[in-house]
Amino acid sequence: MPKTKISTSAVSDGVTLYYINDSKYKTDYTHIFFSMPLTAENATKASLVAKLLKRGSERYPSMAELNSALDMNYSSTLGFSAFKEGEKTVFSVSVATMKNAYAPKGEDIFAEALEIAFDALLYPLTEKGGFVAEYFESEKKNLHDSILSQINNKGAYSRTRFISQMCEGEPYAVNGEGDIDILEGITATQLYGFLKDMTSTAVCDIYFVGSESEDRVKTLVKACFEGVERQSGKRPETTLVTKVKGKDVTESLDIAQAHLWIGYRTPATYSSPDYLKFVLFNMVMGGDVSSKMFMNIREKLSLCYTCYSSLDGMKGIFTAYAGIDPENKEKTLNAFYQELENVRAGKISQDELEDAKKAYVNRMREIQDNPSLLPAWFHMRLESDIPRDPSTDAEEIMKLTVDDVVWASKQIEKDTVYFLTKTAKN
Amino acid sequence: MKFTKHTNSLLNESYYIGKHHSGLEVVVIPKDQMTLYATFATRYGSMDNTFKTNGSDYITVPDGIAHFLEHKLFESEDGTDTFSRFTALGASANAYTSNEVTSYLFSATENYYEALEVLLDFVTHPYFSKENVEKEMGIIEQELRMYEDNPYRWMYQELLRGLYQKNTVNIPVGGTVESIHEITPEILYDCYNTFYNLNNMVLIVCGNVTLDGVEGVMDKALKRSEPVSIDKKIADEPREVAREYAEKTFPVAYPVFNIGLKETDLKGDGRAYIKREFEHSIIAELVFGKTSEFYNALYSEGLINQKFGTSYYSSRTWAFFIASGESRDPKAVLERIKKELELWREGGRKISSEAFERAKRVLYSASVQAWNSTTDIAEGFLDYYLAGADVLELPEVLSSITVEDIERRLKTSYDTELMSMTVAKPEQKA
Repeated sequence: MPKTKISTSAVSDGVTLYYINDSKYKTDYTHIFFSMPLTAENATKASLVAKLLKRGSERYPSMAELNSALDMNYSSTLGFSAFKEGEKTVFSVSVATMKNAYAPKGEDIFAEALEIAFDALLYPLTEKGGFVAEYFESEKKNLHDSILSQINNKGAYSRTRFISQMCEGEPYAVNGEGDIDILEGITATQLYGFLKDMTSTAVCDIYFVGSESEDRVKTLVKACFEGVERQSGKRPETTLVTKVKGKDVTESLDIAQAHLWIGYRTPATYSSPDYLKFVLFNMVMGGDVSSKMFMNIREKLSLCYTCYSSLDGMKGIFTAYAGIDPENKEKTLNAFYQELENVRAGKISQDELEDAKKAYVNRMREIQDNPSLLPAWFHMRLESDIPRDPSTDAEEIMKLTVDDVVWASKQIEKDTVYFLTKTAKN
Repeated sequence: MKFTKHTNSLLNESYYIGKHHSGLEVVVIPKDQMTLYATFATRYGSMDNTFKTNGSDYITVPDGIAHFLEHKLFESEDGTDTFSRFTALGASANAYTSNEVTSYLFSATENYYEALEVLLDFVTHPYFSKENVEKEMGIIEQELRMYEDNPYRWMYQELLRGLYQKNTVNIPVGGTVESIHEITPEILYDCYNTFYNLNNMVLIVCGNVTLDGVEGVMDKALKRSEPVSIDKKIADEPREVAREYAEKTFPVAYPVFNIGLKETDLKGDGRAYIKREFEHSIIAELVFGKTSEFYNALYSEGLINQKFGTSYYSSRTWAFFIASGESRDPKAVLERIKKELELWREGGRKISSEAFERAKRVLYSASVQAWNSTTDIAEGFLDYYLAGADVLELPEVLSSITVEDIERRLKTSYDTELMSMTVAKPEQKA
């Protein structure tokens, strides 16, 4: 499996283009990521900006006109979003266009889409030095509702609650979509200032995956940044915390199924030379359907339908999850601890080891086939001291042994158990 | 086996279709990608609860059995774990059950033919025992509990119950905690032996494989199935909806809603099916899309937010238009949708040539970009295949649609008397 060929070039101060030529799909993908430190304020402002930019620009002064221009351009998709990546708030602009080769009248779909996107990003509708008040207020309400509506999805909501408990006091505890109280205090002028600051100073990484030539992409992107005076700040970093809190938290809601989370601190980040040992440990524990958690907690004990574990290579956190009957918390915890003890005692069969490796290798190979996912994969690993590529990770993991997994399993330390359960009826 | 080649030169895509001597129809879609995707599907879903074969009497089986069967097929007589068989080949397997199809699938980046053989092997070798059926109850019960807590799932399920009086599309795919407890190994075998006859199934393979290679695996793994005639009892569905409104409280922040409108014109397979689907999609764009007056007006008024969306779901025996979203006043949204549809139906709003062209471009672009990942290609193919339609014909059918077709469709299919609504709302704070 060959390495992904990425050609890197500077576009402007702190703006880098990562070009990947890919002819597999009929879509060209452009992802632009602005990275800022993760704070409740940045997360809230970035989320609000993401909503506001869809309301219109100088060239397309209403949502209808902006959407219409995109649709006429063969349904180009333009997405603005803000999310949490390690301890960064990332503001992303994603553009996906049908490749020019399929334009019925030879239109330049790609160039037009970039123009629309940058027009919306750099020249939104303003009045009196801030966002247009009417749109600003309406999107403030939408973001307010959206943050509160996180509760609608119980699995994701329970994870957010769990992380905020486990990482209390660390930037990582911040809700990636923002904070209701901070939201109330933001003004239209402040927010416009935030956007200007972000586009001129936040580290910006642009990924292109598709068929357009590198020269052409570079020229077009450069032109898009012409109106921006860049003075790049530095790339935000994520802090690894290894001290554990030893918390046991229970919260309740009117629900039928309970959600159990167990969180561990690990020294495993992308920059660690031992990172893949932890990846393999995660795969053996709960990373796939042939893992110990799936085979025992689900298949043997019938305790759940969903259970898995995962590893966050930016923050160095290992988490395990199961959606269970509210009565089965202790049973499930004990089953999980038992499996962890088994791994620590080296009770890992050759088949379990090989399955875990192969499942990971398959995942790495599939990512290389997916141009829409590649940018996020590489972006998450940009700060890594060790350059990472799906194919190298796949090759390296194949060399690991049971001893490596056992070693990794002994480096992790339990931090927090979080249980979202059914409200007791009086 | 004789394969017939179908090509679309505009899309630069082809597929091959053939009937294996075992009775199984197979479709091979060559794609030069590392990831191969294969789906082995049977025309059997949660709605097929009453059926007979070759002159026997109709039998009715417990709700949720197709889905239960899907879980149980991963069990093998010698106890080998099916997921691990795939993992050992570097492949990743899964399955799903819908109203009318059960599909077993895998993706692989190596050992394609070996993984394909495992797929054909495990699906054709059922093993149901009292013990393994019992064991599955706990797992499926937790799956159903997870759905119970999901307001979106509840709204969708209850919408189907609201729209349909008799059509069994209104049965929940997973059944209920009570109904699955009626399931026994014997009933599972009855259903298996009826619907998992190879003549009732299809295999779709998309990726870097050869026709000979696929045929070789089929020769090795499949035994011939005797032709079967399956008679699924399809109830006559009255025109009227079963219920106009249902609501339930959930731990949600604001009310969320589903609004459905029942389609009564279900005539035609193949191209007619594609055409009908496109007409509805064009209407969804024109009337409710992000460029429409409706969307922009309600958005400005704060009645809807970016979560609002519309779709059209269709099959051979049922079809409906659906709008979903979040609103502080869902009933007002329903009234506005009705009013908007009446306006369009009665000529109060006209289809501009620009809006029509725009809607067509949106759908054209989607039909081109449907040929990206091997997963999307094979799954998209299966949807149209089951409706007797050829996915390669999409761009051509789309370009043949006229403004008059849309005007006619608005009149024949958007009767606002045939609507139903479900709302998941937060508990009133005292």
